[in-house]
Amino acid sequence: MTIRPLIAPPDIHQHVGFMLAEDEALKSYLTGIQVPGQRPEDPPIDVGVWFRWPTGERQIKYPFITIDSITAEPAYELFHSNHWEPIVDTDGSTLYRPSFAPELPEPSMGWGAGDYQVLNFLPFRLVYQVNVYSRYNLHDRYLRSIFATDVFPQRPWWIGVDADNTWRRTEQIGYAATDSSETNESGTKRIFRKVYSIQMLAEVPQQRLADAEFYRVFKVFISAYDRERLEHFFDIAHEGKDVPTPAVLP
Amino acid sequence: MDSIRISQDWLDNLSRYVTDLENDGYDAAEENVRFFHEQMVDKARTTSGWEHLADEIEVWSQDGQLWVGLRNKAYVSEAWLIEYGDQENAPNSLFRTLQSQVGLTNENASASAIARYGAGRVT
Repeated sequence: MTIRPLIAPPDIHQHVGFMLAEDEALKSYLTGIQVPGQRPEDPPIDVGVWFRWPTGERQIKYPFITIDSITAEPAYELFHSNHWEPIVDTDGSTLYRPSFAPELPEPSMGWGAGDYQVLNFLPFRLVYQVNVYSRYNLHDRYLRSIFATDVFPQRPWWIGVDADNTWRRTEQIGYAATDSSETNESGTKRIFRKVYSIQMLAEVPQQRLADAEFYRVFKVFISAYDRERLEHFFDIAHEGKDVPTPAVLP
Repeated sequence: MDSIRISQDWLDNLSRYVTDLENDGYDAAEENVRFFHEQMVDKARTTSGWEHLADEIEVWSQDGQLWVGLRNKAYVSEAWLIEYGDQENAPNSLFRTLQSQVGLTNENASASAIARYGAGRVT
């Protein structure tokens, strides 16, 4: 990379940074699942979790789970047009901020002359494919059952990310069964494979994107205090009229 | 008993107006389907593994629903393998990553509706 220094590269050793932290959180979320042994007196079996298919030198022990990262795309429809926004707007209104802090000290230039500003967090959508492999019919059904009710419930849920002690909204967006068979020297064996597609919303602070002064949005915030001003905007955006100089704006 | 007489011309005009609105609605729906199809084919052309299947992607209506996908059965199993992968092949998802295309189509539909019917009332 010779163009410029990277702004915030992820740390592959600590598993922190955009995407690495989420990968780690998902793996951690899925780790610890057990299935009952084949007979009541057998001990429960740990279900291993791997990124992608386990490497050749590992002994494959069923059942197990693999995680494929499908995509990390900007959720443009959730972006909005403000580059910086004041915590308290000129009309005294505040945008919804879950961590709004009323005890912030007075800015150095004084209230009214100075202000705190909040940079945008730009939402990204991470899509993962979680594959659940089993060799035994009842393990397949057991895992299908607990995934439907507990692991990937039929509503959005939250996965904790240790890297920054925050939570990621996650939801299941698809399910498919791709059972197959495997033929080797000991004969043909069934492999049950259930595929879950999930998406996780993550946010990247605006200042961590190169050239983030400009980014694409689907919806634009317009300070339209009255109908006349909104019609002005409509004339410009949809009717192709000239942009008036600020002095002419109502 | 009082009565109101409505002229035949007035009724004809109203009927013509409703028919025009209906036709406009059909045109708008078809335009949006076409837009989404173009978006999807464009994405397929730039998604690894899907390039050669891009032109096979179709949009059709069946059982009262709009379907987008591959109708030609000769390509279904190949498409399934590309979409979900297997032990040897990593998945290259197309159908599960269309949020941007759906979003753009929604925006296009809104813009098209505004162009046809106006911006709506602002109170």
